Formats: sequence, structure tokens, C-alpha cells
Amino acid sequence: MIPLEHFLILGAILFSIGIAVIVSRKNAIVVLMGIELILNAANINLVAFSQYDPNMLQGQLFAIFVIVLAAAESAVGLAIILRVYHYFKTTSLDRVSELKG
Amino acid sequence: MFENFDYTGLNATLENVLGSVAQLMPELLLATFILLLILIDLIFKNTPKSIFSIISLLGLAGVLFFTHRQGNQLTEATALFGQMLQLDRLGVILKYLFGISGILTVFLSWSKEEKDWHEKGEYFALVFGLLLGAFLMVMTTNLLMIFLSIELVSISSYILANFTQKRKSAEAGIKYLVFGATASAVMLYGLSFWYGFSGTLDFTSFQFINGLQSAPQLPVLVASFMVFAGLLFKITAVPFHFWTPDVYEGAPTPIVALFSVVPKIAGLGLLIRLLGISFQQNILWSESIIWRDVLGVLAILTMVVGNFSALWQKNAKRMMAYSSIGHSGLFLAGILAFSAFGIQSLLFYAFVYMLMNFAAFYLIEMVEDKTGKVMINDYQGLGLRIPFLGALFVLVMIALTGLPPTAGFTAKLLIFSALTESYQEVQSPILLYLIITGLISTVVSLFYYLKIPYVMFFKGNAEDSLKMKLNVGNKVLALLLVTSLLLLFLKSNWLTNLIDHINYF
Repeated sequence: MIPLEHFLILGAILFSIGIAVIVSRKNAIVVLMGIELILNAANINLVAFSQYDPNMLQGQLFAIFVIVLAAAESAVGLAIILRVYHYFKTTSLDRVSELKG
Repeated sequence: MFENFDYTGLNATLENVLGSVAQLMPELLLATFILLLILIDLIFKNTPKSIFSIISLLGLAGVLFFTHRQGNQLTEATALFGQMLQLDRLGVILKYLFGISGILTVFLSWSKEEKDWHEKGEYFALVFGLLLGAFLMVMTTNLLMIFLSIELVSISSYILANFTQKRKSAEAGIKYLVFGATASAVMLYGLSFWYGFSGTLDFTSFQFINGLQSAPQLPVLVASFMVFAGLLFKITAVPFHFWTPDVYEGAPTPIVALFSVVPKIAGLGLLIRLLGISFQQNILWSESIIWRDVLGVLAILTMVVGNFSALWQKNAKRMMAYSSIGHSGLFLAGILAFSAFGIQSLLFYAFVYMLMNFAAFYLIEMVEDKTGKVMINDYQGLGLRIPFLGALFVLVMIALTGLPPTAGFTAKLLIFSALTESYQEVQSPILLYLIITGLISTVVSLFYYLKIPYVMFFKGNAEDSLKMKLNVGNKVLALLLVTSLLLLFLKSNWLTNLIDHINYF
């Protein structure tokens, strides 16, 4: 059996890549991908931890809920990005900054 | 194949689920109305907005009625759906608040021009979705439900922030989306570790507390920071407040009023539960002094940043955004008193805050609706032209500052008394700093709140001011909101009686 640490390390790597993408990339779609990576890092953790749960299933069920929610969130996210593109003709987050004060 | 299957267990589970459903009438009604509103919009094209408003009002009245009944039938905290949710006083009181906020939002949306609205049914359905999320958020005792309810609130909010057909609105939407989705993703990562350390999703159970206590401290601390970051984002506490002014400026005003009250108070309710003051006097959180210090520093920063940034704002909605950040700091301070009195003051403050914020946003929206202006300088001479509007502005701004004769004063007084009492008990220096910062920021807030009445009465003259007229509906609703602020000052026992019944089981 693969030890728990390997899963956690994989999760941590995904999490770090996700944060790095969100912080450094300007394209809104790529930022959404970064968010997806973090959600999946959490999913790996949940499923891995679920092996040690006396009820066995809670973590895996949680992961399924997260997958569904991630899909809903990216659907809404892409729709919003489309609207932004409609007004600004760009998806670069740097150039979508008219609200200031 | 099914020989070893435990049918008695299955039966018990089924009974538990069915019994729980019967106790969840307000939430079920909200869910029904989400579907109903969308269906009506689909079947009857071109239904006028007033029809949707009336249906929503009926629905929300029903929700309040069932919440009331839920409260009356409640004798002790009951666990629903096998510890997924918990029904208790704190939840019921906050559900009243959300229900009333929903009704006020519908009224605020009433006067909006029809041309701004293409998807009327969806608009109200999404408001109901946000409310449903908030209702579940204050009842949850389960890590999975925390995530689901927060996401329900968030996803509804992202779409609502986008709702008017304006450039600004689109920008507000994407900013909210990027910040919000990141915050909840990071929170989820923290939650996964909480689950890993304890092996259970029920955060009120002994197993959970024990698991976190016996796990190595540093990872628990980091994971807890991640979870609290998600909540503090909802509460708009520093350093997770950057999105607030932009979203408040860009989103439609009725929605901003809703954003400034419901997700914030729901986040506070959940934080109260997590910090375990309201529930079984949890051992882990209330005695770990470090959380009081960490959250205390954040609360102080929130008050300072919110109130001082508001001084430089020229846009009324942006100013209200920073003001609501400032209020969040005081809310956090109320939690940090870590006492029953602190929670009761917090609830009183929450109700008053709801009335003040809806009143302020309603006044701002009346001007915006009729003239399209939201800059404070545009208000010049408006108080001389329409003294009624000017007087209402004065009263609301006084309430927001926290001066008598308004309920804002009573609310702040209660919070500060709770803090003082706790300070005398535990002598924790952070509480003293909280009281001092709170008092200083109240003085600072006087300057920016009163800037609006000042501009209205002492700058410009009546002839050059904005040309607008108030209709009867505007006047009645605004007067009602402001009168309630005055009445709650004179008769604060109406509200305190309701809140005093909270016993923490």
C-alpha cells in the first residue's frame, strides 16, 4: 500500500502550484485553473485521509461533493469571464481595473 | 448478496432523515421558491417585476412564519440528518435576521428601472439561493455542510454581483469570483486537514476536539488559519477585505445592501459555532488564548483599516463598503469577549446593523435611481431642496456612528460593556486594546459619516442641487427603517427580550 505521506505530498505540490498560478498569472481563465488545482489538492487529501476513517466513506463522499461544486463554480466563472470579455475585450485581470478609489 | 445488510440501521437512518425534513420547513420553503420563481419566469414570459416581487415577499413571509414556529417548538438543541445540521436558538434568531433582510432586499429592488433587468425571475431566485445558503450556514455542525453552504452563498453572490448590464458590474463580478473562489478553495484545503487529524467531519464531537488536540500543533495551526481565512473573507475582515470596495461600487445597490448584511452575519454565526462559545462550552477553542490574540489583532486592524480608509472616499457606496469593514472589526470584538453577554450584544448589534445598512443603502439608492449619481459631492444642496431626505440621512449616519438617540448607540454600548466585563474577568491585554481601538475608530467614523449630511446642507444651494422627487413608497419605507432605529433606542427591550431567550444549552 502506498503510504499516506505520498498522497499528502502530492496534494501539497498541487496546492502550491495552484497558489503560484493564481498569484502570478494574469489571465482569468488560467486563474480559474489554479483554483481548480487547489480544489483537487484538497480532494486528494480527503480521499487519502478517508482510508483511516473508521466510517471509511466520509472523506470520499466529501470529495464527490467538491467535484460537483467545482464544476458549478467553473460554469459560473466562465460565464462571468465571457461577460467581462464582452465589455473589456480582454480576459487579463490587470486590464480589468476601472474601479478605484 | 444482501444477507449481512443491517436493515435496522437503515430504518433508523431513514426515520432520522424523514424526521429532520419535517423540522426544516423554512429551508424547504426557500428551496421551493427558488424553483417556483425560475419556473414562472420560464413559462410566463414578460411577467412584470412587481409580480415576482410579490411572490418573493409571500415566500419570505412564509419563511419567517415557519422560522417563528421552529423557534416556538424548540425546547433543546436538536441534531438533524445525523449531526449534519443543528437546530438551536442561535440559528433561529439569525434566520429571523436573514428573512427580514430578504424582505428588505425585495423592497429595495422594487423601484429599480425595468430596463436594467432582463432576467427578473433569476434575480429573485438567486436572492433566495443566497438566503438558503445563509440559513444552512448558521445551522451547520459538519465540515461538509460548512463548505456546501458557503459555496451556495458564494456562487449566488458571484452572479448577483454581475446583475446589471454595466461595465462596472462585470468587473465587480469577476473580482468577487477570483477572490471568493480562491478563499473557499484554500478553506477547503484546511478543512481536509481538519478531517485528517480527527477522522470525523462533525466538528462538535469529542472525537474532533480530541483529534485536533493530540495532533502536532503546527499543522493544526496552519490548517485552522486556512479555514478561518475563508470565514474572514466572508466577514470582510482585514487582510481579506480587498474585494469589498470594488464589489460594493460595481454591484447593484439592493444587492450590495444584501451582501453587506447576510453573508457577513452568516459568517459570524458560523465563526461563533466554530469557536464553540455557543455550543457546549467547547474546550479547545475558547481556552486556547492564541486564537483570541490572533483574531484580536485582526479585529483591531479591521477597525483601523476600515474606518481610516473610509475617510478618503468620494463615492457613497465605496464609503459604505469601508464602513462595513469597520463594523466587522467590532463584530469580531464582540465574539472575542467569549461570553454569553458578548454573543447577546453581538446579536443585538447585528439586528441594528442590518436596519442601519439597509436604511443607508436605500437612501443612497433613491438618489442613484433618480439621478444616477453616487458621488458624495453630487449631494450638494440636496438637503435644502428635500429636507425630508436630508433629515433621514442625518439620522441614519448618526446611527451608523453610534450616537444617541438611535439604536446604533445602544448596540455599541452593549458591545463595549461586554468587552469591559470580559476584560475585568480575564485581564487579557488584547481586550483592552480592542476597547481603545473601538472607541477611537468611533470618533474617526464621525468625520466620514457626517460628511454626507454636511455636504447636503452646508455646500451648494437648493437651486443647483440634483433634481429629484420622492414618491410615497420611497418615503414610507425610508421612514419605517429610520423609525425602527429610533424605536429600538427607546424600546431596546423589544429586541433584547427576543435575544435573552438564548440559552446556550
